[in-house]
Amino acid sequence: MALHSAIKGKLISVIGDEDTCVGFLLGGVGEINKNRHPNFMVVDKNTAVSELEDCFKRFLKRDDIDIILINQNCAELIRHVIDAHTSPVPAVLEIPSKDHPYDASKDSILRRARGMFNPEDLVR
Amino acid sequence: MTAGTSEKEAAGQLLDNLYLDMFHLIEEHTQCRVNLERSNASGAILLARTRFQHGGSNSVSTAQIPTENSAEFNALCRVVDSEDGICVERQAVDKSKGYVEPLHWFSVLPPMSLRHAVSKFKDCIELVAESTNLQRQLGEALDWIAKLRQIALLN
Amino acid sequence: MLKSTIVDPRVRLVPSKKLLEFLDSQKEYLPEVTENLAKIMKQKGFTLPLNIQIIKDKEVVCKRPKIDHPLLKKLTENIKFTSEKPLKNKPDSSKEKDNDEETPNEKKNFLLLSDLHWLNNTLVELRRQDHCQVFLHQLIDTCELILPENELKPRNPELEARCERLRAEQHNRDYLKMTKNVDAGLKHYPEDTISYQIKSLNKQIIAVVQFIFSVAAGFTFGFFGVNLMVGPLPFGFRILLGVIVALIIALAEMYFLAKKLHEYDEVLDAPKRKQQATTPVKRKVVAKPPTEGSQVQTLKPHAD
Repeated sequence: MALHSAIKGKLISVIGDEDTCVGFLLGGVGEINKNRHPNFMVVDKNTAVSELEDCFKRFLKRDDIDIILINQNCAELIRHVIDAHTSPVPAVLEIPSKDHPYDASKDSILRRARGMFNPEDLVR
Repeated sequence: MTAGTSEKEAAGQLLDNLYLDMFHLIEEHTQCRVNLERSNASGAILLARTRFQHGGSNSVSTAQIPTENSAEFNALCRVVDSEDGICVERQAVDKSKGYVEPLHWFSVLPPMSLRHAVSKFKDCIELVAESTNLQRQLGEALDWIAKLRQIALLN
Repeated sequence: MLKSTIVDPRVRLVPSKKLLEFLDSQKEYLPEVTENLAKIMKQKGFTLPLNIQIIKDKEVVCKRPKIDHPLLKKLTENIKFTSEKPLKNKPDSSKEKDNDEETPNEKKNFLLLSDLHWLNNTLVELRRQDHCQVFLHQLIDTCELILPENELKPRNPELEARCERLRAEQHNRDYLKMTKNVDAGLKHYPEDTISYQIKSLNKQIIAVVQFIFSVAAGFTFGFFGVNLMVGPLPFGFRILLGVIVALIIALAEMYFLAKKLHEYDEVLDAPKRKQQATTPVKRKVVAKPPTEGSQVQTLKPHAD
């Protein structure tokens, strides 16, 4: 445990497709902790939405995670959960994947900014 | 009366500034994401090239990355929350302390393209940290605006 | 249509009628106006006095404003954040919005960040001179924020066709693999038989044996041949000679061996590639009868 407390800094967790996960893991963000919980999740076309949602909520609960990276196409599937999460820590970043370019109109925070101006647009 | 108007002036000016700040942040936020996308895409291309050179799509895939059942290891790259936002901190590879080199999951002698891909993804992580800072600032700005608008109504 | 990367990350605001009318009413006090805004005003049917100086967008200073956090905290400390409150001012903003119903054509007029900066500076100036008491936030409240949009790009038809073909090939291969042990015709797929594998192994073995043989021959020549030709030589010298000759031959042979093995690899790949090239033609036949049975039928010639 002493070893664990000696490590300062928080983790970046990744939820995304194979390439995104492999890439960020190569970058060195991956970790499997003492309880054998990885901080990443590979989403493929067979992954159920509920699985995705559970994983996301689990990451939100972990206090050693500071940033959650999630592919925007995955984020679309669990949009209600992401919209519900407004606290700054952990920060949820919607990142583009290789086959889905970044779409500003889908990003939760930018939609919030947009809502400041014409809130009825969200209903539309 | 003058004090009241000057305070109103100050509050109004503050709200205006917050709005302008918000626009700036939105622009920077978007730009940052676009940069992230570029870096990520070039990393993905390099990964694809590695796969092509090795023949067979299984040379770099999820099959190689650790799962729940593999040995524990620590992240090489962590984020540190400081006064002026988040920054990325890297640890040196040290097997005895549980810092393993992720490249070695894929092959003992990684090809050049895979190494290049790693450097691209490291750039990505830096951009992620930058983007997080911007997103937090934007979130704060939005909160402030929402709060201040209530006062502006009162005035 | 395919979404591509965002090219223009600028924030845009659709100006509301209120904003433009306000500018129109204050136009005699304006010393200058941005180029973009002047264009919008003109399009909306407002006229600007001739003495107004039109400035380029680049000339406007765009810096992130400094936020006075102490003041911000002071102002908001006695306010409890409720999400209902901001909704209160929404009705009038929506009313405003209904007023300026814009056709999509008109939506091309946008306020950019530089315009907003200019507007802010101008309003500060106007307030200082007591011409009006309007704030920027009151004006832009009714505007519509437009986030950076992705550019839509049609997918290259060539690429589309290629992807389609590759996908079909992959499905075909998967299908073959799946039905291998069901369909008798596919059971003796050449790659699976022992003779095929031995045959491919043979070529490699021959190449390696050839290599060993030539090296051995080279050594023999150096050891015995030179001795026979020149006359009796000391034993150590003969061995050295043999090794040198063998080394030279090994080096040359190595080059050829490497080349040959590489070529062999390509030969191994070639039939696969050929087979892939032929599939799309077959696929067209397959595509029409969608039932599985007919697919097996059309695929059978593969095995022959």
